[in-house]
Amino acid sequence: MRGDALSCQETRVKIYLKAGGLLKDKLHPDIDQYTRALKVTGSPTLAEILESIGIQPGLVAFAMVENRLCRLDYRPKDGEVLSLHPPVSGG
Amino acid sequence: MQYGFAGSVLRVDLTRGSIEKHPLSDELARNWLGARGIVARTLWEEVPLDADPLGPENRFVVATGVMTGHFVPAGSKCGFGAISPATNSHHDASMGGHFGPELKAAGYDYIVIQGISPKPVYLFIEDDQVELRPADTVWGLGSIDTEARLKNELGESFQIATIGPAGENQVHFACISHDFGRQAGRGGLGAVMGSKKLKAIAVRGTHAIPVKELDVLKEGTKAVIQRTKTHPNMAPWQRYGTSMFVGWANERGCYPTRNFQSSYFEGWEKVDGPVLKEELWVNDKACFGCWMNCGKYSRTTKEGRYDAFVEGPEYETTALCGGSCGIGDLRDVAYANYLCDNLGLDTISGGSTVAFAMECFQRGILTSADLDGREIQFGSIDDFEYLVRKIATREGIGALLADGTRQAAMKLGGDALKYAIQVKGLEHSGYESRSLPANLLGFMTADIGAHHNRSWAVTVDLELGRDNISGKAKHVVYLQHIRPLWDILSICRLFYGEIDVLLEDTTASLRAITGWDISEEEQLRIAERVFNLTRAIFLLRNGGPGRQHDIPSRRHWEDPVPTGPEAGKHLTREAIDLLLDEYYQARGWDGDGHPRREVLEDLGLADVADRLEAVGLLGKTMPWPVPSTRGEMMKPAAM
Amino acid sequence: MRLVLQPEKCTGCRLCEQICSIHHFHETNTKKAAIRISGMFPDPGHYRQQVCNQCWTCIEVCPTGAIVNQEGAIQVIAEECIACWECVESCPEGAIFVHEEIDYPIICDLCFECVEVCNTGALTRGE
Repeated sequence: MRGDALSCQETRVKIYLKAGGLLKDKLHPDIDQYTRALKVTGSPTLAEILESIGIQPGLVAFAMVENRLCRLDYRPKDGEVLSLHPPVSGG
Repeated sequence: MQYGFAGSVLRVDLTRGSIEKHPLSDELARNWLGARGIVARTLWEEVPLDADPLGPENRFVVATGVMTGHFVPAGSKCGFGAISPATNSHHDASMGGHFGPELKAAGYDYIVIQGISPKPVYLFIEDDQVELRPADTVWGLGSIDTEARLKNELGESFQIATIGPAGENQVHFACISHDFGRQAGRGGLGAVMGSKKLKAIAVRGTHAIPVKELDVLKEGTKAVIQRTKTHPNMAPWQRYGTSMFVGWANERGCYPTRNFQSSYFEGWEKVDGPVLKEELWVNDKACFGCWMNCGKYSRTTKEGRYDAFVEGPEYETTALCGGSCGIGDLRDVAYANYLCDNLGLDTISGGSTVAFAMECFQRGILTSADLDGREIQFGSIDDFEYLVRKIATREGIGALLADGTRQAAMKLGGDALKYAIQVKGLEHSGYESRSLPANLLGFMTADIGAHHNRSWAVTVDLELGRDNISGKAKHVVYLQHIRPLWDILSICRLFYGEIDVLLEDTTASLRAITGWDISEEEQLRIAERVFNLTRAIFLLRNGGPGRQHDIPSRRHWEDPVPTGPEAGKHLTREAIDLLLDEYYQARGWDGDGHPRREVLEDLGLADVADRLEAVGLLGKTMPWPVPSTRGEMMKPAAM
Repeated sequence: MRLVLQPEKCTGCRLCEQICSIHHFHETNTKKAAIRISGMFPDPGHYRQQVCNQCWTCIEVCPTGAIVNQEGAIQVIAEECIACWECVESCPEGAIFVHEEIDYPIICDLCFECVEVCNTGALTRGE
């Protein structure tokens, strides 16, 4: 993470993960049928966040944030909504 | 009248120039539902086992399904089928766009075409007016050019399915093209059309297809549309289409690279979805009745070199014409896509055959003496263009390569067969599978050869562990039923896989359309019936034991993946056999991969069992019982 | 009320044609739709939407008064129509359609069913 590590460690941010299909069953949505709110500390990557809630990062192909595709090394910012996308069902 | 169907069938004999109209058989409609089912049953009943795939006795079948043309999620599909010159067995390819709905609106559920026309013709259909017309003005033209010409002549509302020069020259991986970017791509069905001197089919229809309960169907589908508009997967599908998975496939080490030598393509970022969207994209393009519009229409330009419009590149095209040919500039990949589309070549087998030639040159199996003095290399769009143009015209090295990698490798001899990444004569789809055993098993056992259409099991491997071999086969069997079922029904399977349009939704639609109460289990049994029938056709035409045909290239156990996240991984020969052992058992087949009588009779295929038995290809009795249901859905792992 | 067209957002899925024919004729038959989508391929690779824009030319040319302005939308009075197709000829948008089984012109009546199924914003409801 760019910037000073100290303030990052203290930061708590709220993010929203969305998923459908098989990923939804693993996500356990709590806001609406697709969405789960999460508080994370510091500035973890999406892969680290997924592992912390028991979702194997390999089952997520990428996420969409505000109509932009981002990979699992993306570090979500406060208030962001990330749609998790499973791998295609084959070309 | 049977609700859901158009009610009539066209039979065309090109040798005699005759066209007949027959009523649709109720038995065929009910037990086989459409498309792939009708193709398989027709080939089974009508094509002699010794018939040449490129001869007059082969049947070219164009078959819609029960849901084609209806107000359902993407009822766009049309099946095309014949005995394939690539595999010498049943092949069917499912194509989206608008052709199937138009054929049904003209009043026809399917067309069976036999014989060989004395001169190039195209089949003209406008409702009751059906005729063979001379194709002199379009013979020799590219697929894109032919479609534009015919639409210009006949009217924009005609839907066209056509072949390009590759089909005319009977290239074993020639495709059928439609709607400037949709294809019945695989298995060389374009070569079958070419062998019959049938350049194209043009169709326009003005009729409605009878529906049992239209109001129920209307409200049901409107509800599904509203429900899925906000699905999290909708936006990325609409924005990027299949191209968005390039990055994931590389990060997971399953992206075919330099003819499947590696599973990681360094520099993949330059052929990934965002590049397509930001640099090449012109417009979104959907098939009939689809609100997910995954088709991306592009324009690719390189000053002084090319300027072309093309639909794509799709994921598979980036994988086979991109990574597998080492081409790392998406503009070049899109141009390769255009070349294949207009020449009428399948981008999967086409890309793979070019990649095979490039590896053969790398290893000294081909030399510049074979290549007009050229030194071909991975990564070169110029070499790609040189090779596909030779292939489409069967000139020079193209004469060897036009029969696909398996036949080319057998002629080249030596180690060449190892570099032919194919099963049963059909080149692998775009997933390098040395550390994806379930996915590889799907390629090995697909009835039509190594195609992801039947089973795509990468997530099975990820869920159950990529190093694990055992316990996966039954899930592959399930996938080989559920995925082709969408083709049989003739709706796009991406709605099921991607935005949670479930089998229970489409079962309700099926009931509203037909009035038939066909349970989900029965639909899966129909898919299983078709799968066993097509396996039987394969065995009868190619001989036993079936197992010998289900083995992939020995690269899978001889060469570790050299680079990327899966570096060092490979399978063993024993693992290949274990996968097959479990698979045959899960299917109720014997150890040779031959269906047992109990399974065939359970599926209503006693006649198939008799014919297999007569030539010693019926499955033997085994120490284990035939499972009462074959295939098992993989449940998400408990949390 | 009017139908707002944004052809640059149209993907050619023709759900609008389907729902239009279902709503007005109780059958799925895109050839009876009052809206038509056509592709312009290979170049420039866009779609064209043809549908009534309420210019009222057809009302002026109709010899029998079979086409009327019904609260801002076209209404065809089938019993009055003599199937002369003057309206079809005169429509500047090419947005009046005929079908063999229907003995009057098919023109959009602003029911907005198509807006409900369009998922890209190519068809929206405007003032």
